[in-house]
Amino acid sequence: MKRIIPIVLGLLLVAPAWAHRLDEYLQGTFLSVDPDRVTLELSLTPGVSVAPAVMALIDTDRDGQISAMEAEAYTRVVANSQVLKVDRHRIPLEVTGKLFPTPSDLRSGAGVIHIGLGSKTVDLAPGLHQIVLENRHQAGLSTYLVNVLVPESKEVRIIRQKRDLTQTRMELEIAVGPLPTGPAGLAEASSEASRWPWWLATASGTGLIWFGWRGRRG
Amino acid sequence: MACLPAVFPALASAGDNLRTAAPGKAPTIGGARGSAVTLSSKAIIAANAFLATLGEAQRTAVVFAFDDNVQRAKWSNLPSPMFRHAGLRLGDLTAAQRNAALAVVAAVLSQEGYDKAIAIMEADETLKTAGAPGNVVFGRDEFFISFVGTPSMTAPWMLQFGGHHLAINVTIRGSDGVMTPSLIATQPATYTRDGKTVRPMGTENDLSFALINSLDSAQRSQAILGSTFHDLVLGPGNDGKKIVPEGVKVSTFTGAQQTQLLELVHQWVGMLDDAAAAARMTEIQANLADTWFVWSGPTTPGSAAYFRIQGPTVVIEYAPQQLGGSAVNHIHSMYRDPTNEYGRKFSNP
Repeated sequence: MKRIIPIVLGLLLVAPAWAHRLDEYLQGTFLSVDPDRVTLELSLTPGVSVAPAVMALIDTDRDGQISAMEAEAYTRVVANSQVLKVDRHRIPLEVTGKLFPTPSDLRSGAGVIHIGLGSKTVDLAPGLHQIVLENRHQAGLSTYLVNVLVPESKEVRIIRQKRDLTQTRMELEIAVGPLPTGPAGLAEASSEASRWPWWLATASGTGLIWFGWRGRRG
Repeated sequence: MACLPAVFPALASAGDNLRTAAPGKAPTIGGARGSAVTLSSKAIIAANAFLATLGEAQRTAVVFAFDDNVQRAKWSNLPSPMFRHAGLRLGDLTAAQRNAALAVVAAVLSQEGYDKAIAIMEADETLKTAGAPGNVVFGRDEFFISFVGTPSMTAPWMLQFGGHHLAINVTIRGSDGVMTPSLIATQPATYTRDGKTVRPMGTENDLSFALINSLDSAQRSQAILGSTFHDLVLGPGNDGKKIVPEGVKVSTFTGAQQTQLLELVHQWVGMLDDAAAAARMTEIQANLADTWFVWSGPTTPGSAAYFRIQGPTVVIEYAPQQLGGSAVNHIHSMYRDPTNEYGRKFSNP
């Protein structure tokens, strides 16, 4: 890896300032949550200036090609760079699919590496859960996008999503199963909930009712 | 919840004037225009006129089967040869053929939409003049036209027109027409042509800053995310994906703010033929209460900031590109309808 850095820096210095994606390794992630599984779809696009560095990570025998073994090995590197935690427990990820562009497309900045990852079976019991995803792959070269797909299962609702500045980390609060009676529109109010967590609203409401009931009794 | 604004003003007719092929003016499509002329009939007249100018090999190259889902999704923001477009390249056409090709584009778009497309192509011409790196090719010759399906008054078909920073996908069936998904982008975002300053997406930029700055502090605190967005989330290759919405719900907007948002949305929707765009605006307005607006970046006009408008039937993203040079001078945007990509509601592609 240390050998790559001077190459990248050299390319950055000569890169024109107005072409397309150049000096960034764009890593886009779509995260999906089902009651028994969390899946990731990664689209990795090396800009033309960093493509040689990324190619060097993949093409370990330096023959200019991407063999099946090299694609497999790089996919594992990417998978191992993803830290997925459900309710604070790290969940191992398995590779569910991969698609690599041709070396020439990769070098031109037009190639996209697609990698699918899935958690081992998780058991998201009814109630609230926290999911945290952190992408630690090639932080020095990369920019990131991480987004959550609308759950296919009606049993799962995204209550809150919070990224860090660079989008290397996403924290989700999700609810599984039927929601307790709460504020209208609760199930879809992901951003509203981030300012006024629904369980806090519920707790506050319960507290007010309890104090009101005690007040009437008193 | 604030009241919905009055029905968005009906889109003005593009007029009855004949069009010419000069930059900024749409080429003639036969002269027949007016409210009685439907999108489908205009498009058919123009498409058949274009096809009549072509040789057999060109006709074979420009028309794909309507069930060709690979070609349907084959569009990109990338220039040639980074992306290999199919169809016919404008630079390979004669002047008459090229004029006829642009007339098809003019027939399906509004005057404003056509002007924007031409301005984007001319922006690319300025990149060509500046000199392209490596084997990348820029310029107005590097735009491609193709049909997915044979142009028909009754059967569905699709016009694809695009190249670097432009991917217009219009699916038509009878009186129905949609322009989703389409990618509208520009670099440079500001340039000079014939002594005049041209900003292909300047109105979008200006309206978005006016909207974010119209929000009160509570609305802004919900609308503005603390993360940077370096690119489109739902750009090319992401057909069919539905992301969880974020930001502030438009239901919290005042009537004036909702009108501002609709005016912003119209910058994309209104690129399509006026009647078809009006129908889309009505649909989007009906879903305004379930629509979200999210912003990332500074709110000072002229800054580089990302925004997304997301409702049940619309997703619009606007993403300045941090790719060297000034991000405000390199804009990508995406326009989608998650319920009707490629007109699947009426075309079943």
